[in-house]
Amino acid sequence: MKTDVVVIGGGPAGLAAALKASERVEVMLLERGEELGGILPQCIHHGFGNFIFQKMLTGPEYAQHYVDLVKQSSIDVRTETMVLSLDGNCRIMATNPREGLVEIEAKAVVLAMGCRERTRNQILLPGTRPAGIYTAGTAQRLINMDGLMPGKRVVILGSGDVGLIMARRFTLEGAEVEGVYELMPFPGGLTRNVVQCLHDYDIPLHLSHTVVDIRGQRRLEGVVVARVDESFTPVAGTERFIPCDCLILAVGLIPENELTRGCGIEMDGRTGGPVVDECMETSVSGIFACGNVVHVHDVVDDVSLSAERAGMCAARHAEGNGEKVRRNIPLLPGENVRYVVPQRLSGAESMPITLYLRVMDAAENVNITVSSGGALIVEKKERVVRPPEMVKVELPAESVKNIAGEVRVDVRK
Amino acid sequence: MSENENRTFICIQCPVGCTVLVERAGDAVRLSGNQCKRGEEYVMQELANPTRVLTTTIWIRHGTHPLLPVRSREEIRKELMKACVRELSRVHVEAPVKCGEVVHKNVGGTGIDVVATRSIERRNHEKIHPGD
Repeated sequence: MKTDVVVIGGGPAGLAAALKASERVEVMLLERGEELGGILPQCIHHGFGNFIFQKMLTGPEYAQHYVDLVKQSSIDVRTETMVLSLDGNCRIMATNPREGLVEIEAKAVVLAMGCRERTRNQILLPGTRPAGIYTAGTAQRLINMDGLMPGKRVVILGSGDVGLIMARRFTLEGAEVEGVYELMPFPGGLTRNVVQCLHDYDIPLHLSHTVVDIRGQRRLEGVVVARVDESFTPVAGTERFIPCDCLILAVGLIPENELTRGCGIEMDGRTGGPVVDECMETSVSGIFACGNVVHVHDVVDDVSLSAERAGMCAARHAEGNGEKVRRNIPLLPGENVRYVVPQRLSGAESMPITLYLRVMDAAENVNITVSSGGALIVEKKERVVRPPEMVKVELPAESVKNIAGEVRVDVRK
Repeated sequence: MSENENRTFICIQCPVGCTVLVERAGDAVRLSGNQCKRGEEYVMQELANPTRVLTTTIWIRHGTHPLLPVRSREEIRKELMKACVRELSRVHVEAPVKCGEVVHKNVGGTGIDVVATRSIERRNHEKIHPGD
């Protein structure tokens, strides 16, 4: 099978990338699940799309907008289709129940596989292995899509956004949420979620705490929590047993990049995703990436915007306009910056660039500078920066032309 | 909030997230800690009449999925949230349903309608769902 652009993943990133690319070329969209929308159909709460639609939508509404557009488009959508491998020449092996094994040759590929939740194994929780322990996203799916309640008395470990949202959801569905426990001294999710999910329902948030034991043989009977010190070591004497039948883990997300690694694409250890340039092109020519596969976003609007850029550039590549002179200017995280995306500037196309960065430590009244060889390119002031909230800096199109050496981004008081 | 009681709010109007202290003595309300006017407006609204968009699910019969996600068309009073979710847990609709369609009127006696937040088609296979 041959086509121009193959998009792998039918979540918000894949939908927006496929739609954008289909304005110019033939597009095939491959989705592992039974339906399009990715995680959005189970995110029934509202607060999506404030930036793109200028109003607050629920997750299913946000997805429906794109799914309806895809249905009206010429995009060849294949659900229940699992991509097994991808090579550096944009050749894909995939499988589905209707066609068996299929080989697809594309001129460009967009990676939009999203991310996965961290599990108990990845944070090395001690204790027994009873039933009743779920990741927050799994519990969300059980409650919001399957109509099943995972437990009646719930402890939540981790205060990422999905954990906070689920604290509220469990409460509204009649369960008792004993509390949310967070290892770090600050909440992992957005402030608005701490307020509207926890404060609204008087759910306690215990910062600098973790689960140190899990008890119960067949079914979870309870967990032991303890306070941790600055080095995250549990403090002896602070242990407390909490009877519960359900433990929810909201302990972070990891970009899902098995296909990316299998293809030999250069990765960024800080983001867990591929290194990309401002066109969202990876180190392998013709393979683009967007959304949470590149780095974990706070809001879906930014996923859709990065995906449109990837889709447009992938289509241009497929049309034969993508062979660019790669200048490969590194974009490096400087003072108090954990990571910056994109990690490279190719400078090939004249277009405005949005830099996404996360800080290491919270700070007030900061100056964010983008500079090269000591020369300032752009600066921006922010009243407050916090690790859970992504910072965006716009680089005007013309500013990239004159950059010669490596660029760094610093966040200073 | 009872009289002569102090309470703190975190303003969520912007990423700064000011902690606003509300001190009340009889009828007088004093706010401190907010860095701008929006913080004051937010806290006064939260004190007078806190409202939220209600989102939950209802059962759908003969659909491709057993549950239909729904929302209130407008914000409803915060303290009605649990009762409204309970009321909606007893509502069943029949597939197909279009996104935006009204599926329940006057939730919790608020006069506000509840609409579907996605489309669900009628299914043509035999699988039985808990929603049926």
